[in-house]
Amino acid sequence: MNKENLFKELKELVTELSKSTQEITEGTNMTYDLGFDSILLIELFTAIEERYHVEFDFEGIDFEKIVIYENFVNYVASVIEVSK
Amino acid sequence: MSFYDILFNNNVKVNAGKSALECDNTVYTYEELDRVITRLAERLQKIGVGRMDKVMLMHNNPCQYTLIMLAIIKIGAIPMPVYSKMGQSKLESMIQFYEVNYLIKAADNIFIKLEECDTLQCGEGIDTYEIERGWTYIPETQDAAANIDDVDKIKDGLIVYRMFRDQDSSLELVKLILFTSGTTSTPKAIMLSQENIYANITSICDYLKLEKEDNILLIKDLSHSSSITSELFVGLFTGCKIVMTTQLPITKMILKILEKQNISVFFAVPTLLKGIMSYTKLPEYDLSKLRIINFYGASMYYMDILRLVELFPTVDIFYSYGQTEASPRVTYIERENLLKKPASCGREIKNVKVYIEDTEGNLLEPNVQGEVIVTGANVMLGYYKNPEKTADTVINGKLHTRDLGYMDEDGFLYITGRMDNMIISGGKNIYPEEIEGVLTSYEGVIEALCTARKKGNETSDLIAYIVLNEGYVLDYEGLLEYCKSYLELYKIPKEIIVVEELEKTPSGKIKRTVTN
Repeated sequence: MNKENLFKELKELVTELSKSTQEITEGTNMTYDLGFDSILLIELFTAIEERYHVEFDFEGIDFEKIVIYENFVNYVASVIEVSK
Repeated sequence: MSFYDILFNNNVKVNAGKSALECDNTVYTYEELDRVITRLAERLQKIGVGRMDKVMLMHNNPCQYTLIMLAIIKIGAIPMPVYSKMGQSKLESMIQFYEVNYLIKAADNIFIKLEECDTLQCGEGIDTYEIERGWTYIPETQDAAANIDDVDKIKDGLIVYRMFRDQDSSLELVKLILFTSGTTSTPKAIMLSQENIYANITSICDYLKLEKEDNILLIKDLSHSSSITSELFVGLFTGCKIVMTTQLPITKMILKILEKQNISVFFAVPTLLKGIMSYTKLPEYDLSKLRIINFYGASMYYMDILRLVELFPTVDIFYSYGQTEASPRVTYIERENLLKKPASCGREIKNVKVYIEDTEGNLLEPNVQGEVIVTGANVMLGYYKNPEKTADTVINGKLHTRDLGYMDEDGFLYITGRMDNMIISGGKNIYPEEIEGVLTSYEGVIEALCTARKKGNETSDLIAYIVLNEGYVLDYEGLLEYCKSYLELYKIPKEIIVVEELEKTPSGKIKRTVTN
């Protein structure tokens, strides 16, 4: 999948769940800038699993880093790629 | 008796040596918990925190969050819990508006630096204090100093900001201020009294029937009223052990804790439960100690509840409904009735009354939809610094929830929508969720959306779109007759259109749109 498209699609999803009007950039921190708590993060990853038919393992994942939007997109892209 | 003593309900003495709180590798008995809290309270008092001070707190470690909140309560100050990762600009606007006296945060929270803030106008400026590492540590003996090596490993340093100096004497009865999670610029601040909180704790204990031998798993963020009153306080009051974690509550993590910690009571939201139910390795976990699951927040579809009940055949399953403004629990429904009365959120908890009223304030009969009204000692004192909104919400002691619903003949409440989603068709106010609920309870209908289709400038027809189970052949007349048996005639859709799928938002929710 084209990463630019994924960036945009995930941005829509993140915006909808966070209900934030803040502009999302590569450096946006989803917890501090958009208010994602642990439950909302789980909801986000569950929605991605359903939409892209993937499963997240989260093995070895540093969540402090993964909530930076660029890292988040890269992680999702890697999981989608592996699932193909 | 102080509010602090009421919360602990003599467990510090009666259950002194019993485990009270566990978070990752840290465990406190009731006696140790009280000792750590008392020590922190003394340090905060030395800084100047006093009775009726408004103290905001934020921390991503739920154990430390708990200790800080209870220390504030012990002093007689008023905790204002906020989300641990709130951004500085929103925090500043809340501090300014509510004239907060203190903010306590983790020392390693680099995102909040009020010492560098030049926008907050709080009179005498902002003072910064530090509570050094080690305050959470229990020495091996009462007289021994803390082991220096161990203290160095503990990341429990705190920063305390002192901002507004004056106290607000109108807060005499307030013991806790909780914020709504709305999207407006300044969240509403809900004032809860000792009476509010005690009433809800005892009502919840009445239906949950917790025992001091219970081990409770508490996952949700501690800035939510459901976590604080309905889980944390209820657990401490009963003398249970409360288990928390700093780790992200992914399914594997939750199941590991449920098994290893012998959790007997799990407070969950549907998102977490659905993850557990769909986890293929669930049978590999020994969850035999689990005896209660209490979920709340969003309701669950009937099929999901059925699955939950099948997967946990010996567990008491409860669904609770409420609002922060009600401290927060209002109703509950237990396992057997979850299946008999699908879509219901249950009956009133003890010492709470629920009514359904029309817009004129008239009491409505069973099965007639109106606004859900709550009375009881759990109804909040009001919204802080918002008397207009308070006057609009609590009228003659009655809490106007803005939820729509009805009660059946047996006193079971059904929430049918929010007053905000109303549509007008044929000159009548119609709440689409009610009709959608009836449609999706019909065999073969898996999704439904009710909307208004404009005809001409002022009128609209009520239209329903439904998605059927694969391969199902709809009996259209049968569906209409079914609807007529549950709905007044004006709520029957003029047309029911079968579609392949309904347009969804990025997160999978059905989009509400008006079509032409």
